[in-house]
Amino acid sequence: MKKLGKGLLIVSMVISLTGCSWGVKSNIIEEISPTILKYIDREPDGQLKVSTLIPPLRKEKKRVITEKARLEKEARNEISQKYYRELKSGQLRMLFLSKRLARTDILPILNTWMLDPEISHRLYLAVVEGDFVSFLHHQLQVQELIDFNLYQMFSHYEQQGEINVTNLHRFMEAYFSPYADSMVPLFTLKDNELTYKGTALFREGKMVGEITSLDDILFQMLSHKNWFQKTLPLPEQGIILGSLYTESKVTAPPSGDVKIQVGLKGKVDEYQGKRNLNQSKEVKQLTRELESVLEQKITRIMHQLQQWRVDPLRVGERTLGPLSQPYSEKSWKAAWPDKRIDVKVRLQLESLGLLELTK
Amino acid sequence: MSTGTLFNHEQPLQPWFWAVLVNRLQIGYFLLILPKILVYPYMLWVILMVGLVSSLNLHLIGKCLAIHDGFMKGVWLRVWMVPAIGILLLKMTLIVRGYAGVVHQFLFPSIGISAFIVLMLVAALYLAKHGMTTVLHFCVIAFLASVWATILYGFLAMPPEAHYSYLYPLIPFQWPSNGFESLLSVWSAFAGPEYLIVLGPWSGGKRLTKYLLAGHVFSILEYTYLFFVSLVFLGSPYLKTVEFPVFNLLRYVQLPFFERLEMIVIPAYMTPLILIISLLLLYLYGALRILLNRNRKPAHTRGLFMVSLAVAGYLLMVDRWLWTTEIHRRMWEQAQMYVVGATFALAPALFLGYYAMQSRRRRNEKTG
Repeated sequence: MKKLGKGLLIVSMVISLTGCSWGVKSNIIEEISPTILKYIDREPDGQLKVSTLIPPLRKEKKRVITEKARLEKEARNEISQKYYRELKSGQLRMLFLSKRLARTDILPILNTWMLDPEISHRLYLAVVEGDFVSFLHHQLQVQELIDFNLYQMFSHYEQQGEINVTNLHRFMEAYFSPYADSMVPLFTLKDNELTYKGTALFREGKMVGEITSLDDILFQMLSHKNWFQKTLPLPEQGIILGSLYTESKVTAPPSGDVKIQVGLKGKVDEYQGKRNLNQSKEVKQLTRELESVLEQKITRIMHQLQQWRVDPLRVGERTLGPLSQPYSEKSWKAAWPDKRIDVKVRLQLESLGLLELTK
Repeated sequence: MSTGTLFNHEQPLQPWFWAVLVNRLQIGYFLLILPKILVYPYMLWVILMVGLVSSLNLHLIGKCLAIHDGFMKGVWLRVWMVPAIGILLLKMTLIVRGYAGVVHQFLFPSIGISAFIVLMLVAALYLAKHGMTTVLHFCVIAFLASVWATILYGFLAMPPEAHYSYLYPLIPFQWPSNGFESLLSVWSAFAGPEYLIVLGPWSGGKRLTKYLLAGHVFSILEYTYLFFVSLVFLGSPYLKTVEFPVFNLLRYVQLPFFERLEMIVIPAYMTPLILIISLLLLYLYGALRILLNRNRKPAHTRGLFMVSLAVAGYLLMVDRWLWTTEIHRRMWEQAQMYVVGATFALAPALFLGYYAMQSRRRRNEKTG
């Protein structure tokens, strides 16, 4: 009798813990469609347009489903009702936002994603320029696995750099931080090709600016203390620098200028300029010239950041000391746009690609 | 004095078990909410400071454990049991209902909270019915089952995810608005060992203070570490907005072969709570027996079962009417903080004072 009671107890515990009880939402894999990609756009009338790719798990023809709604979660439910399997967001990995939406406040939308216990805070965020829905339609003809491939791209560059990959947690952390602002990678669509364009900068949850092409490379150098950059093209000077080890040091004393010191160590990958790099004097001249070009470019980027009143490089954090906090959140936000910025670049060319071209 | 099998104390607990016991009793529910209350980097000092001060209290508890003659008798003892039962029930409420709420929120949103309340009580009853000695021994399992999870947080304590600038400034420039609440919450986070004062018969007559302190130091380290990680990972302003930071942090950890670690860790953290609940069930039963003047009769498992049944009924009522929203949760947490803080501060001193009074009276009786 005692044994029977124990057995019944264990069985009932197992049943209720495995979720096989009344009123429980089941997740039988054949009956659901876990999506891994979502795209949100805002219509001119203020409604949200949410699109997703289904089904990512089964051998069926994939398709894009789009739904308009006033609220994000409402759209999620409506998409689910449009399809014969229930949509689940537990495997959601990427969230694409249209640029139009990013220009308005995206915090209320991100908030629903934060609150959902199913959704990981590692969800990748990206801003897209152009018609992403027709891109998806087009890609389904060419490559069915577009969503997986995009995910792999993100997770590759998250470790490698080159693209400023960010996720939900990092966005929110920077949003809440008194001395930082969020940034999100920006993609553009040209002739149905998704191209990395640069970094979109956010202030208080609204996109206010973007840093593109060469500037983006410099921007990423600045945002990491130590960094390895595969290539740095400077087409105006006819040179490509390669294998660059960069070390950037930002100091912001409580009063006085912000100092940015960047040390670059690398080699010449390609040179099509007029100087003869076999002569050390000319190499010195070239180095000085490149240094001043880079200094100008970095200064311009910093001025742009100040104009947009954003501080994604976390310069404000550098004002803090273990025993001092010269700027409060408000006073830093007020002081930052008017701070003078002093940029110093030191370039060391280790190898010049000494290839004698003149016979 | 025969007390049946439930409160059998022929087999004393080994000294280092007490260290583990102190540690797991402290790391209860408050671990989950402490970082959110502390928020600011200079609160790291508060944890260390309060930890130091409360170690004095552990000295007193060590002294209480050295007492193992049943000196408590009389009407006054029975009167004392009335507030004691109230306090036990309050602690039980926060742990069971609070944790059932966590499970409901993170793991099974579609299952009602009452189901988890019943399940936790069933587990605790199953443990408690094996008697006090077994419950105390269970602390090792509770420790091993839950302590490994702290390692996982290491992933979040390193850059690029962690921003060490959130540790600055290390001194406060103004007294924070919730300063008193933070002090109190850290104090009550170290509460728990005061439940050991009546366990003298299980101590085996050894001096245990240093073992108690060892467990206490480990708790200080654990609290400091988890607060540090939540701080550098989220930063003060963000931390303020996150419910249950300890579990929300875990959701970000991703092992190459396993994701959603909270699915494992939340049940694992339940083991020390089961230990506490079964201890509380036994105490409740004991207190009721004293109150009803039945402690000379042998303790029955049936009695324990009836007590658990009543507790289950009480908790289900609380769940239905008194604790339904997040605001209620905060009120219960606040109430708990005050009451637990007070018992931690007063219980050992009162116990020793009462004992001194009794023994003086006894000496007087002998001489006079």
